[in-house]
Amino acid sequence: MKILLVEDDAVTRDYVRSGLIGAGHGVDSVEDGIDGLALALRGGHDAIILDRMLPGMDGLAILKAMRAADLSTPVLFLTAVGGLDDRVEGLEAGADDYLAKPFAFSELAARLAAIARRPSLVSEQTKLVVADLELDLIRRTANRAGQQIELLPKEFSLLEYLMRSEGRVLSRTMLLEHVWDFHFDPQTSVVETHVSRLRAKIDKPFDSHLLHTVKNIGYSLRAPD
Amino acid sequence: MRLTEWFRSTYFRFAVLLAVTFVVAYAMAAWVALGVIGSDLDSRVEQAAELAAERFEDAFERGGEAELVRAVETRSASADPDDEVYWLGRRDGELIAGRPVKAPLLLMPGNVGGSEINADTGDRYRLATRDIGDTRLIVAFSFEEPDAILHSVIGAFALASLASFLIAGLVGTFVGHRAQARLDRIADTLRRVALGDMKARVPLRNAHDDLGRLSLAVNDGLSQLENTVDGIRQVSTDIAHDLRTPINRLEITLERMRDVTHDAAALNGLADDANAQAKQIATTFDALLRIAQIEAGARKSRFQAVSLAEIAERLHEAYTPVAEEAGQAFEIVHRSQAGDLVLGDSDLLTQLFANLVENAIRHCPAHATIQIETGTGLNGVWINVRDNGPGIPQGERDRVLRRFYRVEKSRTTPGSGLGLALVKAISDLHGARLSLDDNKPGLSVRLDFAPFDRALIHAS
Repeated sequence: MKILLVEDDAVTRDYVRSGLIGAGHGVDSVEDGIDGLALALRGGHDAIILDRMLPGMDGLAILKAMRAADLSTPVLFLTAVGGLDDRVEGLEAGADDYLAKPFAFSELAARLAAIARRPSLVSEQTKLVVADLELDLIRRTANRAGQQIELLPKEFSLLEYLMRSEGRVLSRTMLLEHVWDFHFDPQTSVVETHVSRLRAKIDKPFDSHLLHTVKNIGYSLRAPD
Repeated sequence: MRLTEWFRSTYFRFAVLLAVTFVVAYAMAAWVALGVIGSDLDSRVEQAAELAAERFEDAFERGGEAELVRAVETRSASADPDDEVYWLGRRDGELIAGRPVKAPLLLMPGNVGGSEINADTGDRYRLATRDIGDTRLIVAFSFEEPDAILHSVIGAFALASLASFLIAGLVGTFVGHRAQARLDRIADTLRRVALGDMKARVPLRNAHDDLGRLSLAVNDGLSQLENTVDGIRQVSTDIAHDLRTPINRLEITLERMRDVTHDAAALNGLADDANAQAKQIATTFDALLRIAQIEAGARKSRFQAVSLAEIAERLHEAYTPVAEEAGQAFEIVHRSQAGDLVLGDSDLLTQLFANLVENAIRHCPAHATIQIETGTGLNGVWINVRDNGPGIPQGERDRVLRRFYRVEKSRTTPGSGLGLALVKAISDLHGARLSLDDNKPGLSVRLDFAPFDRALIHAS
């Protein structure tokens, strides 16, 4: 992917830039807001990483200007620590996702992959299939290898999100926001517990495992090789 | 206040303007009244003069010239020559009866000065003339009386104007001075705040008039400002005190990495430690800023209708497995029929109750029971999170709501010491009443919210 990175802090910029290049992406990086906007409007990027606080022009203003110019490139908004309203403001201004600093690169990569591949047509799928696991979105039922699996509502939402993001890593925070609508960092193992219960239902009784733990990052659901 | 300042003050100008307006209004009223009275009195004199002349004509018709001469002589003798002057003479100007005048043949009917008719007063006179038989009659009546009346009326008006000018000026000055003094107290208060005295407030005596309402608004604003400043001050202090230790720990970890550069495994372990420590610092920092922002009331503009039962339901769903893993039971009870809505921020309220539930799960042993209960009463909507765990000793219940305060025996369990401070901040933001009680055994935390409609009225 070709990614535009607008970040004024040199250490963060180099960290993200080298991470992205290491993951095989092309990166345009600028430190100034106005340069960032000009480069973004020239087009050709698959995703934009935009910092909230920038010299020259505020990240929020750039985002609004981009959306006003009908630029639909997915934007990942980086917000400062403790910015209580930054998330809402960012999403309202047209960001596709946000990430609070400080962040781990893995978290950024997971979110970037999610927004960049956000399907252009969120087609009205009625059934999700990964290997022999099937999820019927109408009847709200799941079965694997022909066996019916009983899922609680949250387990169903969790599995649906994982299946829709097949092959991609979903971070713990992404799961918390998406499945539980929690916008804080719980002090207990909410995600881990639910994932382990889901795993007991969809993986344990079967030979091959679909739900994988990605250490220190999150989880990923994918068909066995 | 210096005199020049007083002259420039709104209230002084108002007093002067009021007094001048009074005088102008009085002068206009006087002008109109004098005009009407003056012309009325003048016409009476004119009529009297004409009437007198007609009487003499009657006398002539009754008894000829002899009767006319007699009537003029009688009248002239009895009249005060300053008030009434009579002249009867031949057409060539020869005086027959009455008083001599300067140039009787030149006098025409109308108004003349006193000198024209040999009167030694400065008054005006009204002349009526008649040609009767072979004689010419001149009757002159003085305007002295109406003029005197007008003079005394003008005098009275002038006196009244002066009095009302003085009274309006005095009352205006007095009222203005009091109002100005109150304005000065407001200005003085703001000056003290600017100099750093955040506790300064405008003294309130009468809160019902405009200045009283202004004072109230100023005081409200100052209270809000004080809260914000206190919050910022508190955060700075907290950061200085409580982030120093973890930062120091991080420094030590980084220092130790130098010593083990040859040992990749140890290096990796220390890097993980450093990472975790940095993350903890960021988390603490985040929580502190969050509390400060919440205390400043930043989120109030985003308040909307939130169902407490719905939040309780979501938390029950999310935390039941967590509690079960810890060997605890997590129960939910709804006591509300309908209308459990509150005006608030859904994200923050979710975090608040999640904090309470997580505290219970973390501080209770296995086999404990944790309950989340919502209900509605006459006075609003409430939510109650309780457990039968170790509880919090009575004396410490207030202190646990402070930042970084931790009950001594829980120091070893993980946690930032900010969870309940955040609970308190969010609860205050929503105007809820937060109470910690003994659940005998265990802890019971209850929050009482104003019902949605009342909160909405209050907010607007």
